[in-house]
Amino acid sequence: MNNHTADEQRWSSWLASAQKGDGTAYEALLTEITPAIKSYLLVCFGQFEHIDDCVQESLLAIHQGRHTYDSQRPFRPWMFAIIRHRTIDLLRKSSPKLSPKEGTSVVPISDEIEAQNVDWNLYIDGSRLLKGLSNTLREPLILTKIHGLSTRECASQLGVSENVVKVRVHRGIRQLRLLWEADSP
Amino acid sequence: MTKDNQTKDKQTDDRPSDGKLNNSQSQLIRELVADLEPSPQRIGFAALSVIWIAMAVTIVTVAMLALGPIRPGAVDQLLNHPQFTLEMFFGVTSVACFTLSGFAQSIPGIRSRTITRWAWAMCALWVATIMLGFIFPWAEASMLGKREHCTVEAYIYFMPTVVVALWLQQRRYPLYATRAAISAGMAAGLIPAIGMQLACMYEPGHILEFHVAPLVAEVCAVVLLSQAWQRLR
Repeated sequence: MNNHTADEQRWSSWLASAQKGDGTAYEALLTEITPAIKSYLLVCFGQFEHIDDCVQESLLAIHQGRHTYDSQRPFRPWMFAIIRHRTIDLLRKSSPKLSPKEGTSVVPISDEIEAQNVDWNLYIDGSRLLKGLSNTLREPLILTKIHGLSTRECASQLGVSENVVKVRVHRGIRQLRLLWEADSP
Repeated sequence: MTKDNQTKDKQTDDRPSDGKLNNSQSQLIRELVADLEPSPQRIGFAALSVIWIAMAVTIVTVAMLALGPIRPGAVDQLLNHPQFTLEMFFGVTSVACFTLSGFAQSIPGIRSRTITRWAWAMCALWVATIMLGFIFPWAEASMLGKREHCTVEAYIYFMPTVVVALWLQQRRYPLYATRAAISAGMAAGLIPAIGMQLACMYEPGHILEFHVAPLVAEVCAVVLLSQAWQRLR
């Protein structure tokens, strides 16, 4: 029995017990899936500022939606659907003024550095999903949502208007969601 | 809460306390466990769809018959005119697909894209076979059975069934509530529209203007209702 199958059976059983009010099983489930959620987000996006918020929002959403889980169905698709939804929602709503997480390998962009000279691999290394985006959609998404530039700063870096940046970020998030859904178990 | 947990609650740094979870995660988990209550298992989306369709068809049929009879000869037309039979088949299949789509979308992790595409395809075929009647009419256009307020009736029959559908969706956990609501709105709007195929006059122009066109307004209304519902939650 591989690890995924063992996890699947254990988590499914714990949530089924939690639906009947078993607090011990529920605590065991949440304790085990929390690092799994973080690992999943790290693989998909790499390290980013909101990762801990996404983990907590995912746990809250799993708690709110726990009554919808059917123990006759697989647990992982149910859980990952919730995680994807909360993460994309947070990403969409996140303020563009946030800084990249301390300790990440991010090259600061200054006025002297042209956007096209930035090594984008430093941003997307380890992020499977971001690599799936076209450059046109990936660059504004990384600049605003991960590096934390405002729309105006991003537009200035890329040499396009603010409206173009907003449209590309919106399309990028939408494309990210589609890629993620296609990629997920 | 044990003394050990109380001590951990007072810690302000966020370093992982057990190597895997940080303190805020541990605290959140404790709070969620404390908030745990038994949650009754809901019935599956397929069974729910059958129940909702049965309820909606019953409401619409009883209300329609209470306000007037069906078109004379409508059942005979349904059984003996293949074009009309096909049209009704597409319409009924579309209702079933939209209902399944709407309730599947209210449960995380259930793939509903295929059933939703089928729903729209069947709906398009239903409209196309109605429009085919302009070129290849299967019956002579007639005002026989005309209902004076068929559009108003369609809106009135739509309202209670869509509210029930949205309520059932919200009792689950739709991740994309507006999309789920659109499917529910289409199902709830199509049932009276298809009912009018039997209850009201049969003429393609009349059908499209007074039975099909209200679907547009109904879907817009359901989107607004769904978004208002989500804000109130």
